[in-house]
Parts: sequence; C-alpha cells; structure tokens
Amino acid sequence: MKKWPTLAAVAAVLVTLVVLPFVLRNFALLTIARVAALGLLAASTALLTGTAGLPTLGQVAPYAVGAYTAGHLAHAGAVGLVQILVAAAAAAVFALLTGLAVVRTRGTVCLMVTLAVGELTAIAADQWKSVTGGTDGMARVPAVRAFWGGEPMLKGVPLYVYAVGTALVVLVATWLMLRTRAGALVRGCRDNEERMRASGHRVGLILLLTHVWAGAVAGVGGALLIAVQRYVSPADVGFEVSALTLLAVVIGGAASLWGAVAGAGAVVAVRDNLAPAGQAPLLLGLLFVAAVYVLPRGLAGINRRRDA
Amino acid sequence: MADAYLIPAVNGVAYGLLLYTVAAGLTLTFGVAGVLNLAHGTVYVLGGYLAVSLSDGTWTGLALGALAGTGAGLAAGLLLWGMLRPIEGRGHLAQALLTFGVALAGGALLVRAFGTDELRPSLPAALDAPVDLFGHRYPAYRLGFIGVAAVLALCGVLLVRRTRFGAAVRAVADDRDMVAVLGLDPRAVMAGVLAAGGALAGAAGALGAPILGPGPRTADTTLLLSLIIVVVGGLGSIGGAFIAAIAVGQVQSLGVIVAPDWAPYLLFAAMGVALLARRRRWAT
Amino acid sequence: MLELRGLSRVFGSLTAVDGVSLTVSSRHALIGPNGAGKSTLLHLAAGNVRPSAGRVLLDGRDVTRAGPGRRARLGLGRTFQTPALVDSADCGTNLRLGGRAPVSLDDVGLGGCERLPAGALPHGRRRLLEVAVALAGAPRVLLLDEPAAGLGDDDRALLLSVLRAVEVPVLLVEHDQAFVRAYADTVTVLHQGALLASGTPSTIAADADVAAVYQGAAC
Repeated sequence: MKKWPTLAAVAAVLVTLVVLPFVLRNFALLTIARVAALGLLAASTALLTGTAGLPTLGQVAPYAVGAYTAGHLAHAGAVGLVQILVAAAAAAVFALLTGLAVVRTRGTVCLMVTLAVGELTAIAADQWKSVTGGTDGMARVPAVRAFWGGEPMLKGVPLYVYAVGTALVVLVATWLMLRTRAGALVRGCRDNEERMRASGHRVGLILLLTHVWAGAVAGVGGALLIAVQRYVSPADVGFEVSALTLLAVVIGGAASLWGAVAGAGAVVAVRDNLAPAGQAPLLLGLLFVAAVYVLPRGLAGINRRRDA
Repeated sequence: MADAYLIPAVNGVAYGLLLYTVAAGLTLTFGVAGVLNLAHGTVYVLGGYLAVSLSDGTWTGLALGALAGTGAGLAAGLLLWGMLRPIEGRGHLAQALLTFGVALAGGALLVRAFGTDELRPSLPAALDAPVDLFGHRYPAYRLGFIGVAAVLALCGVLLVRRTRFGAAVRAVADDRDMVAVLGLDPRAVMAGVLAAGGALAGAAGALGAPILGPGPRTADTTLLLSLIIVVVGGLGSIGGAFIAAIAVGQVQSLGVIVAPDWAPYLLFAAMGVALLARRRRWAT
Repeated sequence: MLELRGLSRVFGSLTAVDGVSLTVSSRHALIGPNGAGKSTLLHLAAGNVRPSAGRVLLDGRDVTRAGPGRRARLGLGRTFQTPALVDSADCGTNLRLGGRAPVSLDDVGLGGCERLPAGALPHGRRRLLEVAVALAGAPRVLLLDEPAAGLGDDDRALLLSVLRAVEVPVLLVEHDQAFVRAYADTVTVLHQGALLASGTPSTIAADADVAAVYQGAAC
C-alpha cells in the first residue's frame, strides 16, 4: 500500500522538519510550535468528523481542559512529560463524560450539540475564576522543562523540538491505531452503522472510545499550547478557535489527520500574515464560505454517513 | 425574601419568551428544510441593530424598527437560500458550514458598522416608564413584551397544531420526502422556510432589543441558547421547546442572581440529561 | 430456532402486522403481495422496530426488548433489502468485520477480491458478499430480506447453493416464487398484515385463497 511518491513526500517533510531549527529564526519556530498545538486540535476534529462520521465543533472543550490542567501543573513545577500525560488523561475523562451524550447524536444534531459543548466550556472558562483565572486567564506560567533535569524551555529551538516532536508522536500513534482493526471498526460505523449493528458490534461504544481518544489528542494540544505561550485565556478556546479548527479540517480534507495539521498551518499562516488587525473573523468567515464552495473534497467522508 | 426574586423571575419569563421565538425560527428551518442555520443569531442581531438605528423615542420609530427588522430578516433568509442553492446536493454538513461562515463574516461586518458596544433602542416614554407590579417597579415594555410574545406563541402553536398548513409543516418535518408527496416544490419550501425563520429572528431581534440588545457577543449567545433550547426541548417538540425556553430564561436571569457561577453547568447538565433520556438516536 | 408470537405493529390507524405467529426451524419463506407486512415482520424479528404487541424468542430466550445489536450478539444474522456493506473497506475487511466464523470469499465466488473495495462490486456480488458477512457471524438464525432480488441467473444459482449449505434455520422474505420453490421447505403467506396460510411450497401453490389474494392484489 505504500507507494514511492508517498514515502518520498514523508521523507522530504521529515528532513525539512529536522533542518528548520537551523534555518529559521526564533519567532518563526515559535509560530510552528503553536501550529503543532493547533494541529493536534485540528487532527482530533478530523478524527471525529472524517473518520468517525461525527461532525464536531466542540473539540476546543477537551483542548481547554488540557491547557488549563497543564497550566496548573506547570505552576506546581511538573515537568513537560507529566503535564502532557495528565492533560491527556483529564481531557479523556472530560471527553468520556460529554461523549456519553454526543455519541447518541448524528449529523447536524451532533454539530449542534458539540457546538453547545464547546461554547459552554468557553463560558465556564470565563467564569470559573478560581480554577481558570476567569476572563484574564492563566498567566505567567513558568517555562516548562521537558524532562526531569532538563532546562526550562524559553527559546524557539527547544520549544519547536518539544512541540513538533510530541505532536508527531501523537499523530503517528493515532495513524497507527487507525490502521488496525480499530480503524476498520470506526470507519465501518461511519459508513454503515446498520450493518455493523447487525454483525453484533457495539456501535455506541466504538464511537465513545473514539471520542475519548480524540479528546486526549486535543488535550495534548492544549498542554503544548501552555508550554509555547505560557499563557491561556478563554480567547484561546473560544468560538473563533473552533471556527479556525473546522476550517483547517475542511481545507485539509475531513478524513485526513495530516491534512488537518497542514490545514492548521495554512490557516495560521493566512491569519497571521494576511489579516489586518482585528479582521480575523471576517477573513475566516469569507474563507469558510469560499472553502465550502470550492472544496467539495474537503467534506469527503462525512457525507457518506448513512443515518440508520 | 421571595420578593427579591420576583423581578428576576419575571425577567426570566420575558427572556424565555424571547428565546422561544428565536428558537422557533431555528427549529422551523432545521425541522422542515434540514438546514442548521448557524447564522440565525446574526440575523437576530441585524434586527436589533436596525431597531436601534430607527428608534427615536416615538411609537413610529418603534413600529418602523420592528418592520425593518422583520423585513431584513426575511431578506437575509432569502439571501441565505440563494447561497445554499449551489451546494444543494452536498449534504447537511456543507450547509451548516456555509451558514457558519456567513455568521462569522456577517457578525464582523455588523460590528464594523455599529461598533463594539451593546446597544439599546430608545423607547417611547410610555413604555420606558415603570409600572407597579406587586409593589415593585417594573419596566412597562417588558410586561407588554411578555403579553405580546405569549399571544404570538399561542398563535404559533395553534397554527402548527390546528391548521392544514401546520399539518403540512409537521409532515415535512417528520419526513422530508413528504414534500414531493404533498405536491410541493422543494425549492419553494426551502425558500419559504428560510425566509420565515429569518423573519422570526429579525422580528425577535427588533422587538427584543430592549431585553437582549445587539452587541458583539449577542449573536453567539442567542445561537447558543437557541441550540440548547432546541436540544433540551426535544428537537421538534413545540411544547417541549416552550418549557425549555422558559427554563433557560430563568437560568439566565434568576440563576444569575441565585447561583451566578452555575449557569453553564446547569445548561450542560440539562442538555446531557435530555440526550441521555431519549431512547432514539437523533439524526438529520 | 426463532419464534414469533402474536406480533403486531400498529402505526397510528394503520395496522402493518396483525397478530402474526410463526416458528422458524428450517428454511422458511415469507411471501405475500406488496404491502402485506412482510418487511415490517422481518424488521420486528430483527429488532429494528418495536412491536405494539407480541414477543420474539430466539432459541427460547425472549429478545423482544433487545435491540438489533444485542440480537446479533445472541446469534441473529441478517441481510438487508439493499445489500448493507462498508463500501470504503475492501471485501476481506468487510468479511472480517462480519465475524470470525470460517467463511471465505471463495465460498461465495469472490475469491481474489480480498483487496477490492466493496463499493466497486456489482449488485449481485454485493449480495453474495453480504451473505458471507452475515454467515461470518456464526448466526443461529438467519434473516434474509429479498436476497434474490435483482440477481442474474449465475448469481442466483450461486446464492441458492450457498444458502443450501447453511445449516441453521433461515427466514427469508422473497418475491421470487421460483427461488422460494427451489429453496424453502415451509412457506407462510401474509396478507394485509395477517397470516393467511402456511404450509409446504406445493400446498401453498395449490391454495385457492392464496391465488385469489395474488390476483386481487394485481389490480
């Protein structure tokens, strides 16, 4: 199944990733590190929307859980590895609880419910001052040390390696998971739920587990955000970020993890470089409309769902 | 003192009725045309901004604002219909994403035009003055609004439950293939429903502006609360949506006084319970 | 063995199935004119539709309140009117998703199609794959919804031989009378939701009431 062009492309990307720290300046490397965080958020959205057939506007919720958890852990002095693992676990638990309701919905209703979940989480982040710092957010997060005995990461190069490295590990793990029988089960539930049920599969459970995995992925993204920004506020997990993420997924092809990450990069690049200050929502909205008209493949894989 | 809760509770009823009107428009579009119109909140805000611009303290201004809001909402609905036509066969997700983009862009344009403050219209003196309510002073407009909205809600329910038009609407909402069976043109139905939904949102925005005024966050709030009402109310149940709307209105007004931090969790929990309690899965 | 006891299903003022009882212990065909309630009865047996009255028993166990997933895990296999497959997956994966019973693609004439996406198969082959998928689940009872519909002669013959090799009770809804005669040993006729007649294929073929119903239904 592996073709030479694909292998060559993968090799080229890997080589580029390795070379970049020697070539780019601090600010550019930090931007890429931030894209890694957002890329995981986008990948988790693609996992649910494209592979599981559960279109979601709510992955900012586990992302937020991961970020704020990591922030608290950073204040407590925990190393990066611990932050990532605990953030993933916290986000997974959150995704388990919300997933119980979300996997009972399909299609447009799923979109509605996940939108509400995302929004409510952002509002909770805004109000729960004792835990999240409220509207002002959590600031002055100490620089993260990747491992015990490591140096606090303040500069572009270490943060780039930390973020991109972690993101790659998570993405590859997810990609591998999808190549096993688990992936076949999830895609089966997306494409013909009735058939899966008739063969005795527990569709709800399969979708719930996928929802939990996607939550964990988003949670790791949140932990990376904290390491890179050393700051998180409700604005980082609000409506606009949801929009950005979904746009990234649409551009990258809904069923592709890697496409979603590339899409995240594209969207960040456009927003940072083309959007005049404060015009981001307008640009995002126009891009959305354009993407829907111009990119039918962007939604490939979702419209195939046959509702039972 | 129960007294202290009277005013917020009445506010909650007003707010709830307002939200019900908005949610009704969303349900109409969603139930009959299968379109999740994420720009619904933006249309509400459009109606609000128009009402604010046209209001000048006179009854004429008020009436003009209401008319302009309804008309603009209707036009917005038709515009949306036009934008959705080219992607007709592409499924509900594509439609929802398109309306999402429109909401983002439209919202940004409105903020550019009207600024970042939350605005309120100037009401005629008679409506602005407080009225005596069980020993409390209460804005006359809100009481009037409650009355008018309740009557309209009742009319809406009667329309859907007792007329042939309403039966057709319910039939199509139940099974979209019924459109062909009933001999209706699906495109006309979609246009009509989007226009009607838009008009409802615009009218609600114009008349509800003194209660929930247009501002940069209003579209998001309105959309979110409408979605919650639709889900908690049972996705298509008129009675359920009404109860849900009043409940959500109370959470947002009385709830804010009694337990200010609990509102989002209450809403979360309500949605969770509604979804878990339902035996059937929900799909488009 | 599958037992349907007094099953009824009412939709408002329409009675789709009216107190039907039957026991499936062999190759049992369910026939009747269009609108007789055959599909609804099959859906009731499979668990896709809840009965308004009556019970469904699978090997003596009451599964009336169980959904299709649970019934499948208890040994009920089925195929659908339109072959239900995971189109994005290849034939081999589809078969494996069906279960672990020793059924191979060769058994249904699809040897060599292991890597072919199920979505690329023509209708007849899809039906055969679907039957294989159902059999891969090691069912104790098999429900088939118009399996021969739209099949060419070759595929029909292959389907017949595949089904003849099945050793568990089969309930099949079918319009193709020749297929029913060739395959079934018991035939039940439904008319307007109620059980009209039951017997061997030859008894039913000779039954005047049944003939009248089919004549009448033609207009």
